Amino acid sequence: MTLETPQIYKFPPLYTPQTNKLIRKQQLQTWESIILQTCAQLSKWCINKNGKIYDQSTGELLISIFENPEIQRACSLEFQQEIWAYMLQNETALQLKESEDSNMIAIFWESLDSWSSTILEWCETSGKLNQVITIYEICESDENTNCKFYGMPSSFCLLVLHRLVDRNRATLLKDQGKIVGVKIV
Amino acid sequence: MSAGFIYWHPVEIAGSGQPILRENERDIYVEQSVGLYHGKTKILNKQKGRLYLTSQRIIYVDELAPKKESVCIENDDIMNVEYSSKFLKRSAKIILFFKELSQNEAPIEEKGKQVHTTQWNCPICGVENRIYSTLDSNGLNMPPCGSCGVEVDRDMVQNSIKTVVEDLEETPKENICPVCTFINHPQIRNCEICGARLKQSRRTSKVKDSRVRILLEEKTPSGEESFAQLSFRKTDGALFYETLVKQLQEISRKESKHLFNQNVLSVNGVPTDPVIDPDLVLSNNDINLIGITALEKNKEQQLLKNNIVMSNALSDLNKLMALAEDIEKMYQGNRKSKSNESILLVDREKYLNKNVFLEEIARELYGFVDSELRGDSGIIVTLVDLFALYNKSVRIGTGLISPEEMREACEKFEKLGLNDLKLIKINGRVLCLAFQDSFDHIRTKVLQLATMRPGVDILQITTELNVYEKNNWSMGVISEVLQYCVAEGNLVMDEQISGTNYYFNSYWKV
Repeated sequence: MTLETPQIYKFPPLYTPQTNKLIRKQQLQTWESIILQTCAQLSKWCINKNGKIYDQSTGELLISIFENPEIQRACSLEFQQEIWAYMLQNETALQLKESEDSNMIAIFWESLDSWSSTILEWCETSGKLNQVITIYEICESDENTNCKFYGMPSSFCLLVLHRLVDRNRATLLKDQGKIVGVKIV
Repeated sequence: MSAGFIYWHPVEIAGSGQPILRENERDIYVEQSVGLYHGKTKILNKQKGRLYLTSQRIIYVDELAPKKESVCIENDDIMNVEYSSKFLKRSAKIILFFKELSQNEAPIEEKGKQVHTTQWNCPICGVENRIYSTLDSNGLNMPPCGSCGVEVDRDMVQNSIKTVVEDLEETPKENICPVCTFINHPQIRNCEICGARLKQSRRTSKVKDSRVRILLEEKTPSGEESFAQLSFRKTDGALFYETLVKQLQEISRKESKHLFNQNVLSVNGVPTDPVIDPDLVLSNNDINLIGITALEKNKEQQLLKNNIVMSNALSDLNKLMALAEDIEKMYQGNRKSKSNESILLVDREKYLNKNVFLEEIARELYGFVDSELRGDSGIIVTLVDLFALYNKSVRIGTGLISPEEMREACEKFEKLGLNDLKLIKINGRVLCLAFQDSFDHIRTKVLQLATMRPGVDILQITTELNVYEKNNWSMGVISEVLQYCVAEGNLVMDEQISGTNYYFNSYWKV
């Protein structure tokens, strides 16, 4: 699968933080959209802070967002942090705290609300309402390969389910302090 | 126009408002706020200006319209000067009495005037001599031959003497410069090439130059005034008067220099060229004497020897100094030939107050930037660069100026009406001198370059601009312009280890 990158990805000044404030803001917006777009294309919900995305099965490097070997440019670490800070502030990204790897960042190329409605819809159509289902069933069950959320990491899925809980549409079941299942009503 | 105006001459003014001097002319003194009078009446359009006293002229440069209203008076025309001091509302004045040109010398020029020319052949060398007069029919003295210099007997040449009546109009009216032999227009009074005073021209220029505009306050009945007044509005003019008198004395001394005291050995008993012939004294050495007289003689001779050594040493030193002077002259001569015109020396000592000095410096700076640095499309130069350039190339030998003085001088441009050049601050910190639209010009040029060749760096931009535009943009200025464009948002940077490249901002809106 070849990744489609926007034209501006080949524009060298993109990798240097610009001094003009207005331009800098637009530059950060550009980075945000590049990251969201790339994650959506690759169906990646969580990526490493260094911007490197690996294929889950083969472990092959798919893309390193902050580097462009074609024009030999790369963002400095400071600028990467600035981009993340901008996205966190915009709530298009979230630092995963509970995750074992604190370098992982959840990317919301679709908002949590829209994910939660997608899952709700899926429950309704597949008749999973009022049943206890495991998170594994939602994310990795073979039945769901065609679903948009197939392959979603459990940590991200939990974020979505929490949103349903807030809407009083789900109850989380815990076993030994660990969430194992969910009942969606 | 009345003949009284013939003493006023037009003068060339540089763009900076300074007069352009002739070759060999040097300026001596400058006075501010001076008004001119012709005779007793005010010249209306010349009431506020600067007065430059130079070695050849008194130049009036008008403050309001320097190109149109400026005039000069030849120092040679001035017979006498008088000073009248300030009294109540009357400002101090210097009255210049002119030499009478119109009566003594002009009549020769009467139209149709005929001249007798006498010719004879020299019996010694055979050269045909001509003199512009009739010979005394019975006089015995014949003038010596122009070629061999032998005075001939009248009888010997009796046969060859011819008297011809010539119309003066037919004789060539060539106006040959005695210094450089350039043939000038007959009505010109100073040589166009070297500026030397032309001898013949005296009789010609009876007409007022049409380029001089003189508006008198009231119509004088005669208009034949042969004096003019310089009125000093702010100062008492005493210093100007003194220097003018000194200069006039100098001129008259120069005129008579070749007449008197030529080849004299001593003046009032003081030798003009004291050289003691050492052989004359040393030849007495070998006289044999014994006793006290010998010792005394010896002592005397020792003293004499010392004296000779000392005077030799001094004369050597003098020669050395003369040589040094020659070298200095040569150096200055070289510099002159390079710029091809005399430089007005703005000397600190000529100015009474600092303000006036700075104004003059401002004019000079303007002229310097205009002539030396300005390219086809204007120029921007940082004050730091200009300071170094100006001090190195103009101020050496006339006293360097300090950075503060330069800045103050630059701030005076507007006041002096030199509107082309402006002191601007780029990026709010770098002071530059710029011709009016040159900043916009360079900015668009830089933007164009960045669009055409994405990823240019400062070095490429500088070479590009200077090679193809034949200009002198300095790297410092270019870098400031780039920073300005980046801050403005039209350019974006790409920072690399090798340097910063610039791109036109085609993706983000400003």
